[in-house]
Amino acid sequence: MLKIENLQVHYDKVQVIHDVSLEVNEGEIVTLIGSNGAGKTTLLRTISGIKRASGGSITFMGEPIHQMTSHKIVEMGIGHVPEGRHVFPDMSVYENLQMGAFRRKDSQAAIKKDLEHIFDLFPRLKERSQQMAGTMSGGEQQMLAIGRAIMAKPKLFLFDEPSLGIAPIIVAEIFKMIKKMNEEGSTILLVEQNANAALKISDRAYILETGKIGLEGQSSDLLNDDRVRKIYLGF
Amino acid sequence: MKKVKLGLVIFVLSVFAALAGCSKGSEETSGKSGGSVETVEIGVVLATSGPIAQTGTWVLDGHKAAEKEINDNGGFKVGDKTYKVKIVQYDSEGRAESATAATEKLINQDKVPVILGTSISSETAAMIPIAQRAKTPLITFVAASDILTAQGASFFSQAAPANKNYVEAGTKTMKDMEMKNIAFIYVDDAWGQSYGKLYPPAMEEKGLKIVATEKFAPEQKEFMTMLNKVKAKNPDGIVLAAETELAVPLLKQLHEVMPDVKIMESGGSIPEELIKVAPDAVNGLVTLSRAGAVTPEITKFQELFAKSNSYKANSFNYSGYDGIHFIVDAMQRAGTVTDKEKINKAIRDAKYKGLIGTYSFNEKGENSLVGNRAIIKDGKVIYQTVNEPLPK
Amino acid sequence: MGDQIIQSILDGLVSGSIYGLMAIGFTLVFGIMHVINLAHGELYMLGAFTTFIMVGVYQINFFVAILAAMLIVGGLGFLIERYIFRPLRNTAMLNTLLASIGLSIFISNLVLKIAGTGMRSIPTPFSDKSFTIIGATISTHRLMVLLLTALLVAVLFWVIKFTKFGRSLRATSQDQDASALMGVNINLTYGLVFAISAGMAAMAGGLIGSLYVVDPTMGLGPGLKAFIIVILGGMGSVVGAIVGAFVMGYAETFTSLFWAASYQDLVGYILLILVLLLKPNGLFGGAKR
Ligand SMILES: Nc1ncnc2c1ncn2[C@@H]1O[C@H](COP(=O)(O)OP(=O)(O)O)[C@@H](O)[C@H]1O
Ligand SMILES: [Mg+2]
Repeated sequence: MLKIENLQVHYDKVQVIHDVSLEVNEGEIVTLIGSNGAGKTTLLRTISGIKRASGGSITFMGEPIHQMTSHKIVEMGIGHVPEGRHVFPDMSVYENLQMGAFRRKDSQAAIKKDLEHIFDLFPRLKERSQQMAGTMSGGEQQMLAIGRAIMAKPKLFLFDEPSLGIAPIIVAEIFKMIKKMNEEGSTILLVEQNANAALKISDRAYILETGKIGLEGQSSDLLNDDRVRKIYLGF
Repeated sequence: MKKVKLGLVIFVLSVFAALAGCSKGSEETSGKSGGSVETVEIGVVLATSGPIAQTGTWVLDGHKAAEKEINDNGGFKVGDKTYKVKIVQYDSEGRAESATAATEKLINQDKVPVILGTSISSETAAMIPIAQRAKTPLITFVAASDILTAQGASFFSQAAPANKNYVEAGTKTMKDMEMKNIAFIYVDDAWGQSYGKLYPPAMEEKGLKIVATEKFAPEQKEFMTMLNKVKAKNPDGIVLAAETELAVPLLKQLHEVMPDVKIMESGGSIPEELIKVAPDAVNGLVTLSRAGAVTPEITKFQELFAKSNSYKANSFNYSGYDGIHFIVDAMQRAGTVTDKEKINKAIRDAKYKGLIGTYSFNEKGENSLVGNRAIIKDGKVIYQTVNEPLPK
Repeated sequence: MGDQIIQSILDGLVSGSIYGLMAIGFTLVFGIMHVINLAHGELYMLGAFTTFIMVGVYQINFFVAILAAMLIVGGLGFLIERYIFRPLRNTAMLNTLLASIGLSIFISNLVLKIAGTGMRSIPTPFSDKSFTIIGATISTHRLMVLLLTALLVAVLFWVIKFTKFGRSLRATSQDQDASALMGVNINLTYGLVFAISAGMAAMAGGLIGSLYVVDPTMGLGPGLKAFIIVILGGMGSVVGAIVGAFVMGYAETFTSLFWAASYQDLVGYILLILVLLLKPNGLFGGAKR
């Protein structure tokens, strides 16, 4: 579904992604693990077209997308839940969710129905639908960011550290949510530093080390890999 | 980094484009000095940009008409040598700082023997000490405030009809217009302030009653509150002191608020321009004018002027034209084009008959030009002396 | 005096709406694109000139001409964004500021070159008739300025608050990257915002320029005033721009009434300094950032 080949990304003259190749197949949860500053966020932003690659290719559903503008990529069916949530702080929860459906061309009724579906998934958002998003807690904002991405009905979700800065109980809830979304048919590329939880719900995983793929394999194998356990799982 | 540079490049390019636009004025005039004929440079400082740029532009066009005329006729003779004229002009932008910078440049860099300028009293006031120190004759044909000669500078002469002389013509005209309760509105710059001082006592002496006095800023375009405040005092006559650029919006708004009031403007505006820009608002308006009734010389100049300009010559063009001829006359009488002291003395001793009257000066550098007036009637301008009766 | 105060309240209302027309466009561009566009006054001047050419030279209907001026100058605004501000996007704000200064000098000198310094006046279809409202009078022309401004502001508010496009504007101003992730076409949005801002300046130029005089330097004052009002109201806030415009309009009107018209500008600056001392982010520049 998503195929990245020999990707290179620079900030000015500094290269932060070196020759990365990676694949996500339909129906999978793929985890990308890496320590701080490894280039995970940069990689996701490059997939979404916010950052431009300086070399290599990204193909989605058989089409090259590394030259596309971000709104075209959204239309292709990639939904991105960014690191740090990035909800629109001075807009209500309801309006944030409407923004999620910005590119959809189907009827208002269909959008409305999906809104109700989000409220079923996250009852807390329903309670606060008129509240300004900026005034909510981190966990609630994360739920909103996920709900907002679902509103676009993407084929592939990119999650960038959804557990970052969020209370552990809610983290568990969010991981359950991701798993459920996958079971209902969504394909997911999950970036995490919380390697343990991520590896447990994913099928396959890549480890990114200062911009290069260090290791890849089945998640269950990596969970038992000595090096991974030492560096990323802290055993 | 690349993007930082791009911003700078755009900025620098734009500034160059702007400068190209500004400096063109003096480039155009650069004469083809060649052969045995020498060229005399005459320094000119005039505001051709800024809030009162129109007046300066008119004066400059007058200067250029004289320059062209003299050079087309082969130049002028001093002794047995023939010289061509070249105007070196800088834009003072309506700012005293620019005017002084231009003066320094003309004296130290261009080394001109004489400077003409400006059309704005506050600029000229700042230039006088510089000219005096450098012993370079400075003469204005437009700036009319009495603060200029009050500096007592021996190298400055005021060849514009001074406000003092205009006040006399002004009060006479108010009487002739049968104004009884007068609102006096003036621009808050050096020229207007001088009227602010001169008019009230002169009007009181003539038994003219002032019911309201208001002043406004030269940058101002919106006068509604001021005019409504004036209206509340029920004046039957309005006396304005406003340059053409400022008089236009002021008169338009005056027409909105008090369509029937009698208006006299005290010599800052050009009536032909007022008709052109605000025809509905100026019928019946009387302006004091440097030019009196149309003479054969004026008609001749208007024909000459029409050849190289797309608009009809007005009295600021006359002053500009007079200015260059006046200087040439002074140089001829002084017998030199370089000795600044001698030229200055010749200026002060002048008795030169120009388009707007005869230029002569007292020991303070004040002149003897009187104020005339122009009446706007049904889209036409009638010029007369203040001794003639107003047209019916 | 009572009558005069009522008259001044009406005068201030007209001044305020004139200022508002300029300030809203200025603040939109800053709020959404983070560009301080010091060429805003020159767009106003272009609007006045375009209207003048159509009405004065080609005798086109005044209102049609203003509408056309809005479209033409708006289109120009779109191109300006595309070719001058887009290459500088996401660089230091100083770059766009300098570029806008350069642009303003360039536009006014270009017009000066083509049109010369002469003054021009836009003929208007309004009669000399004025209206009296509880003792205060207002001319037809000014009443029209007031009504059209009110209409425009109402439409703008409705668009921003209730339409999908307006929602995307707000989203983009709050978080450009997140908007891009929602599928907002940032380039198009920025171009449209600049076009709207330029179109509003052009409308102001046509409507107000016909009250005053049309010349190549006429944009200088209104451009600067818009900037001051936007700082006063809080950079980027549309409500702040409107409130700031009326605060400025009334400060000037009452200065003129109780003191002298020539101190109007001075009082505007004093007001600005006072507000910035008490609220450094301006009246409505509240908690954001
Ligand atoms: N906007 C930026 N400009 C310059 N360097 C950046 C920028 N964003 C990230 N970087 C650098 O790129 C590298 C990768 O960062 P990032 O992708 O955020 O890593 P991660 O998400 O894995 O923590 C880091 O060295 C970081 O300092
Ligand atoms: Mg990251």
